[in-house]
Amino acid sequence: MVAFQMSQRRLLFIILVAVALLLPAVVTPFILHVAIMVGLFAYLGSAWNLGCGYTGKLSWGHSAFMGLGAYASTALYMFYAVTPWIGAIAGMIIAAAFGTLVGVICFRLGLKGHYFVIATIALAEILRVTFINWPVVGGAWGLLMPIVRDSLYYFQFHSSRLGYYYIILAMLVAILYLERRIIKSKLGYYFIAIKDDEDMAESLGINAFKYKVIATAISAALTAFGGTFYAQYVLYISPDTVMAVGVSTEILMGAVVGGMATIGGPVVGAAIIHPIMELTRAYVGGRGLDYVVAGLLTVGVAVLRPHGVIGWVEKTFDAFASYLPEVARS
Amino acid sequence: MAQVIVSSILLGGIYALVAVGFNLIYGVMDVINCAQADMMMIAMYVTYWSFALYGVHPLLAIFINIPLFFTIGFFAQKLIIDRLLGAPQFIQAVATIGMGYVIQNMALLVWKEDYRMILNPYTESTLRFTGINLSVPLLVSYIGSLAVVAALYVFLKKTDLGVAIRATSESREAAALMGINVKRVYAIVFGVGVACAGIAGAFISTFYYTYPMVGTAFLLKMFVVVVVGGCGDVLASVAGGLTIGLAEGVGAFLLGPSWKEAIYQSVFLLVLALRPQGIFGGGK
Repeated sequence: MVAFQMSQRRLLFIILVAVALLLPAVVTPFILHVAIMVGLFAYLGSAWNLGCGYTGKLSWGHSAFMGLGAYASTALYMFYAVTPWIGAIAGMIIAAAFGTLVGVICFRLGLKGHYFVIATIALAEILRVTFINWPVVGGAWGLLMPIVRDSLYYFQFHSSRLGYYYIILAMLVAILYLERRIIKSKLGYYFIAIKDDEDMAESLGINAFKYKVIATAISAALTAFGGTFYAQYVLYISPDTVMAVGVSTEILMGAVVGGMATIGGPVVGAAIIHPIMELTRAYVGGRGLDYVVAGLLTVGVAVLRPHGVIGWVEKTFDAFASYLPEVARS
Repeated sequence: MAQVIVSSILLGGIYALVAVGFNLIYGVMDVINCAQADMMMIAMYVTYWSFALYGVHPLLAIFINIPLFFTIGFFAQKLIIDRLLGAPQFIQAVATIGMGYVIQNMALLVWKEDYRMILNPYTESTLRFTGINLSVPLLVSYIGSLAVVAALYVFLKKTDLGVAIRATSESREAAALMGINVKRVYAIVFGVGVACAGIAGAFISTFYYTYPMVGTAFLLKMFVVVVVGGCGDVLASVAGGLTIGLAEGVGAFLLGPSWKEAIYQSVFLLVLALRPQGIFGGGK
């Protein structure tokens, strides 16, 4: 029965990807933009979830990694004309190094709970202020990406957003696949063991420190790639738009609303929050109203479903799936 | 330099007041109230509009803010926070961040991004003392802040309600067994904590701009002041506030003002590394 359900979920996943592939054929450019934002935040939320949700080491400083990715690819392109794809890899390496540093500092100090959360904010803020005071990368003004013709090589698409859409879709599918592979591997079991009971994990011979640092580094590198995508999509970055605490909040909000430590959670969360925010922004107007709605939604979910809406979504799907064969038979 | 040190100390005293309500809520209820700074922002607006529309002196606005914000806090606990107490700590923090988002962006919606400043003879007055210029509203706010913190300390130590609060903070179950109504204590603590933000808002609006996003900078400072001083200890907030005020002021003087956030965050990390229970705290 369990295997049967798993294959149903795999089927659902394939159907969803197929729908996503065909989506651009039927929607307006604005809806495509909304879909890209959902994809980006589903990706970033998954990257956060992989390092933080499963190990229970909840970072509120992921904007630092996103910013490093965005700055690395943009600066390499602007100063050395390196394609943003290579820049993205450079950004991932830099972010992984910074993530390792953050991990080593926080976990060597044995920071737990609130202390860890606040320390990650502090480190991200120090990085943000450093970039503000670094004239080479534009200081507080940031960097404006020069616009070139549409090309995959330059990672820019202006005549239509289709290029961005398919890239973020591929990134999302890839990260979900990677996440599943990791979670089903030894590494994933170590992460979950550390989350459940760190002392117990240690007593079973798991080097908790090592695996917590690895989790942070992987998550940092993946987040940096999202930063490169953001930089290429918006074509403007500054310390306050890619490194501020609010960016970290937006990254983790989707995962929290959807459900931490689940593969579908960040995707469901992003798919709920971002359309509502974008639609409010576009059709209701009023600067700030979008965040009022997002805030109300977050408080509501935290009060009513503290483990995220994914449990409810899964239950509904399973009930629906078990009902289907009966329909087919009749 | 003397000028810098004096004004940093004055500012540090005010940080102590900003953090003390946050610290009280954290110490007793173990809840990080990320909406605290945005409550303070609303208090700044209440002060500003009482002055702009009705000519109420900003210091008198404190007596509007105390009952108003106590009520807000009391009911926020009853209606929202109470339902979060069973949730994981991180979810609580995210939920209060959500509350902060709502408050902050409502303010943005209603009052726009304008920077507002109360300008009257009081807020513009300065005092010259042995070659150092002192802003009178800053000095008054400093003294007022320390007085409020002292009053809160006495309240917790000497009154029956204060003893009940401290008992609840030590053990929720034991306090309940002793006949203390824990829910009521929580609501009062949250009310008092938010009222502290109300008082702080009135003081800060006499020497600082009022705008919707003013809370964000103060929220980060609250965390840092509380941890540097010592969690759950009212007087430790003063130590934390003065440390951060001085670190920020002197650091900005030496390295340039654009570095000041990085400076106080570094001090915070240093304290975490060397003395995680806080400079003043006995540990929690």
